[in-house]
Amino acid sequence: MDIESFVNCGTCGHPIQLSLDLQSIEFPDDDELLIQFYEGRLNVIECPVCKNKIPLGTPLLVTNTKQNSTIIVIPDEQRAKLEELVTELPDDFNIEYCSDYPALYRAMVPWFNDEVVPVMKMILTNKFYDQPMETQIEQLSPFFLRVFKSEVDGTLMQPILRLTGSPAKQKEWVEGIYDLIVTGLIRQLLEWSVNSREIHEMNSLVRERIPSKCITDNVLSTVLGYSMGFKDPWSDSTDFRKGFLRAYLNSIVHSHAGKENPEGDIWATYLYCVWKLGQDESVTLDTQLVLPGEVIRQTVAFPDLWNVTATADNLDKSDDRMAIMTDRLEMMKAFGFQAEFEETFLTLPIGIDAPTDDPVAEEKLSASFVSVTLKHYPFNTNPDQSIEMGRIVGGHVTVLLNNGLKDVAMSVAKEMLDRSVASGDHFAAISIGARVVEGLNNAQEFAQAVEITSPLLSLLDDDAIHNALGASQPSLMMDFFNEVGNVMRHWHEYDLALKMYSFAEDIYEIIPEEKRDLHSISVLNRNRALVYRDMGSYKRAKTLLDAELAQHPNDPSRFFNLVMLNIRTNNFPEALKGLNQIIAMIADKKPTIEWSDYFLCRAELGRTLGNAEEGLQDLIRAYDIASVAKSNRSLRIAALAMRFRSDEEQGREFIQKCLRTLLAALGDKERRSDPTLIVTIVTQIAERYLEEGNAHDFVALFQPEFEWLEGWNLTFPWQYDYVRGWLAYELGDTKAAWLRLESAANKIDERVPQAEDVSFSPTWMHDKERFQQRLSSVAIELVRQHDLPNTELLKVYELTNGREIAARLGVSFSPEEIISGIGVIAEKTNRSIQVFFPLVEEKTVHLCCLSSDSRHPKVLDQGRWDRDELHRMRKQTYHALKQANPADLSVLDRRMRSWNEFSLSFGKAIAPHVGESDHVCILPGRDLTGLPLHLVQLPCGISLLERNTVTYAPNFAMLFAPHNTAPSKSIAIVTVTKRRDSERFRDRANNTSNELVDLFQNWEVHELNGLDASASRTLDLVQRVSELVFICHGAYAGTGRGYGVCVSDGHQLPPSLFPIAEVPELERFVLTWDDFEEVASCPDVVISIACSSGLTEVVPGGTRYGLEQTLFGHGTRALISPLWDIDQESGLDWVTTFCRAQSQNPKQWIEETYRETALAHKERFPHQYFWGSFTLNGSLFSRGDHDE
Amino acid sequence: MSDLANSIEKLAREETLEAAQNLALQISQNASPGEPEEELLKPFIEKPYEHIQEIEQLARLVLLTAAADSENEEAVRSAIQGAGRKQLILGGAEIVALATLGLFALNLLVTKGKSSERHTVKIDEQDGKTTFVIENEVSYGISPSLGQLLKSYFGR
Repeated sequence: MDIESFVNCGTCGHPIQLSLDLQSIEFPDDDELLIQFYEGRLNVIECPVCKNKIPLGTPLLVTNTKQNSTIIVIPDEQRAKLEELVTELPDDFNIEYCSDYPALYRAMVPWFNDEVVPVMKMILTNKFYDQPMETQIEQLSPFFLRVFKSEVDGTLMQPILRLTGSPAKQKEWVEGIYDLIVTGLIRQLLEWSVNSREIHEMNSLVRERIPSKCITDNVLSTVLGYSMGFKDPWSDSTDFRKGFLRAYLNSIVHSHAGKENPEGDIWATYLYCVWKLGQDESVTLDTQLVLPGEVIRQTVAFPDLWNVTATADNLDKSDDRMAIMTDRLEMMKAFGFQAEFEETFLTLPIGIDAPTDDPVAEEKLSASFVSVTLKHYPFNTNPDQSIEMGRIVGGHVTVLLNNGLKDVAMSVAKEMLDRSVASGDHFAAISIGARVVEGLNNAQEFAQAVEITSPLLSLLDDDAIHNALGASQPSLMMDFFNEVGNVMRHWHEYDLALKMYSFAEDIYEIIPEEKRDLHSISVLNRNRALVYRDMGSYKRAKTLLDAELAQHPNDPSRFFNLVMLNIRTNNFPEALKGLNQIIAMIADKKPTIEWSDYFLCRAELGRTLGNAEEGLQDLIRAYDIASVAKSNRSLRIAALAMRFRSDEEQGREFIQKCLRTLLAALGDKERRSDPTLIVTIVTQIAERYLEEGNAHDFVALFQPEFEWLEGWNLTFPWQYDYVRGWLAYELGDTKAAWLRLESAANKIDERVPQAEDVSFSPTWMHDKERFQQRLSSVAIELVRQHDLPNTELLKVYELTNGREIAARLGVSFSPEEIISGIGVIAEKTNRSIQVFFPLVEEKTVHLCCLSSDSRHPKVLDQGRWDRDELHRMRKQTYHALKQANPADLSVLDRRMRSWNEFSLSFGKAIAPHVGESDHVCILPGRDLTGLPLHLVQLPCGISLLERNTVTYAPNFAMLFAPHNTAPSKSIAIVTVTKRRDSERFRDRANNTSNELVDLFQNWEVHELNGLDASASRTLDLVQRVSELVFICHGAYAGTGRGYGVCVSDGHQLPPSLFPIAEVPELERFVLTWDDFEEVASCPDVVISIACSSGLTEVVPGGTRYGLEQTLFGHGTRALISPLWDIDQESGLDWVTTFCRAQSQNPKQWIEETYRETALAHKERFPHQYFWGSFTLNGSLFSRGDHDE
Repeated sequence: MSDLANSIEKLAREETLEAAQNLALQISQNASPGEPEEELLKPFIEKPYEHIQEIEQLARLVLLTAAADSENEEAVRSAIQGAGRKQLILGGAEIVALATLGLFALNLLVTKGKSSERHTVKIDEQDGKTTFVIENEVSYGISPSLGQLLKSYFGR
């Protein structure tokens, strides 16, 4: 059975989805589920809204094989569905049906009594321990223990014991007996396994027989007492076995209960002792004490083991630290802690002051590393030994890099490589290469990694060597090519990187299937994903990363790759969500150097999302973690600190410290080997100086850095051009500023995700806001000074407004094409066309105009507004219109004063440029979007729409967007009311729907009504029609999704309230712009009466979140929808009037039909609130049957 | 109970919210709620749906308090008339806006906009029931948490 249904919360009415699948329970083995039942918690969920507990009554099948009985709980009306299942049960099974859980409870009383009561009686009458030990263990079943624990906790629905006396004393007495029983059982299990089984089985016995929830703190404390007196097996070996067993038992019980073992160090000492003695051939060891690795891993904590071996180092008094490390590594390997060991080992300080700056000392150190390594791992012993040597050398190099000894690290690596090649040990050479390159990559020393890689690639040019290595050690070769691919990726040689990964994959293919390591192919896929991500092939990257994450959901590093993809595409909220999850995942783990990346990213997100102080705290953590290793990583973090401001002393000090570090790095000749690092440092410092108004100081200090960088012939990132442009602007060289800013603009424009990656384009522009403002400022200033062609204004508008829509449309027009396009349309429609569009500086909005007559864009002298005032007015207007009472518009009139003032000023600015029969197109940009500009008052006293045809478009790309296909005559009418709309409301909606069907008799008409109009059905239908009418409610779906259209979820109509932030499950009732992302095409014309569905939310970067984005991107060329929350009756009338006019005069331009509809509607509904609510947004004069 | 009070009682939850908003905007003229309202309503603002019963009670209180004064009768009727007519489903932000506006409006109704003519407001707690009382005019059962909130608001 797989049935899903809904139940409404009895308190708040929130709909809750529930599964009606039959749940099967074995009595008494499924102790956890049974306890939930006896405690009244089984299949009870908490309402996410009001926290009320809701019993779901899920059907149950409870089987007791001891008694050949089954009890089935199922509502009577569903019983027939069980017939098939029941016939599968053995014939001699007694089957009983219950209709609800209370009935089940009653039916299960005999089972419960049989299982629990006799044992409990024996315990209470002290007869229990008179039985043989095996019987005692058998009787204390996990179910019994769980019931007893619930009795002690008082959580059973009906207690078992009826006691007299004060409740506190009763509790104390029952608890005492309980602890005695459980600790007794633990001791019995110890005894049992020692006498009649294997010692190592004790671990699984305890876990199987005693539910972890039954181990209380009292029990733990008692068991802890058993091991007292057995502290140091090294100094006193008397009763070694006894001490070992007690420490073992203590560790089992603590680890099973999930609690930290306070004497974990003692257990670790015993383990180390046993291992050490096992290495000594003169010692005969009790083999029972040699536990399997799996048991050891379950019972000992790595830090305890590490600390014990560290102490043992001192006891050894050996000077040869490498030998001790090797010894320690062997033990950790034997116990299965190799990964943890390496992670800890690589972050160890080696106790040398770094950097030494003393070539002799460095040379000595290098020689010492080389000789120690060769002593333990001579060349050409066997391939495994050679490969292991690579790991050891890689480990040395990492430790040296982390201690700031890059020269020594490189010297060791090269020396070992040279020697391995010279001695013909190619296994060692490739293994050293792979591991050293990995270490250099992690330390972000990419130039050095390339240096190591090159000779090895030459070595592998020899086919004989290549093939021999590939055939005998394919995993090693895969590993090597993978690491070389990583170097190429970091070096931005993406094609080469992909080629290396392909080599690795080719080798994988020749490995026999049974010997393949799935992990290695998974690593390759992840690395490929990172290359795609860095190349800007986001969709491919995401597909690979999603697949990886599905297989390794709890791997923070894989999760982080997806986070990085979100950061790369500026999808900050999603990235933050992922990072918080990662940081929760690693909370109780030992920090590793990679963690600095997690905190660094969260810092950056914090700053971007307005929590700079919190972000700075994360940055400090990132810096502290990265500083353990003296690599470029901490420098890059210090560079990012330049973006932060802090009101806290600690924060300010940190930023100053970072600045000093960066300045020191600029003076460090070694750092100069990586010019990309210098670009990052200089760019970030420049931005800080510029923000603080210190352009001249910056130039005085850092101009030589720019000159030095220009000598490298690098492809600089857009941010570099941006700061150089900004700097030139601040220094008064506006022309130079424009050249730099234009270069940055072109780089940004080229990298906007397109084609299959287009869904990433909306977020991609988010961090370009300030750059865009500066670009506008410089363009306006230069145009005014006649130092820049006016046509550049068009280019600036396109880059700063709805660039993601242009990406979706897959078109972009040069200024010349825009100007010629407008001329063509003017000619075709035989009228002048005036396009008004704003350009936005930091504090001012400038209105510009492009006329089909003059064909010369200009900044309007009278069209200039203060942004803060404009924002205030826009907010007031939005609220006034949104909250208007359709039954009494006097309040609205009163609240529209600031709009009226703006309306007059806007009308005055455009009036000289608009003739009586002109068409006016408004591209509202970021600051004017949402304002009813089609209703601005002209100086002649009437509104613009009353005199002219008026339309909107997000940008020029949309204004001239061609039709995807020739529109057919098919229409869909989607009608959905909400659950508690009045009958009158519902009737009006349905009558209008019927009326529209009649109007389009000659068309192919599709109707979707009520429950049938689910999101999936609606989305399916939109791909098959040329027009779509939504007679639905509107609702706000949250930041980033904006206003949407309410539909059913297939089971229920939308609810009466829509608090989606608090109840995210409501998402299923609303279609917003992102829901249209995956459809193949959208109707040519979309008409919606859903409240505010014409509103678009403009976010940083000029990105526009509203239905327009994806509808236009998928073929819609006209979107008619209201700018505010409209009255149903008037809205329906408006739409009917429009559709009637359209059906009666199909050849008329939609722009004209729209205006005539508004004016006709005005006759019946004279207030602008009614007749002016709808806007026509889309491409210019593209719809009308003139083209047919 | 008057006809108007009866029709207020019969309003559905979302209609009550809309009607109260219409009325609150009408009587608040150009003034708007400020920090005291937002501070007191912080728990409601953070999770409006969790407190929807209290917000609904507050909305009914606003309507009933206004309806008790014949001067406001017409405004209340028009507020109710305008409710439930829009193609909109109220979201969290809209509910929050109504809550702060409603509290502000309730104060205006109680004080009639002037401190000298202030009505006597009592929040009665008897037999586990909380009631908002304006002497001789309004008595309306509310939740203890809304009672607590109104006590702080009117006691300031």
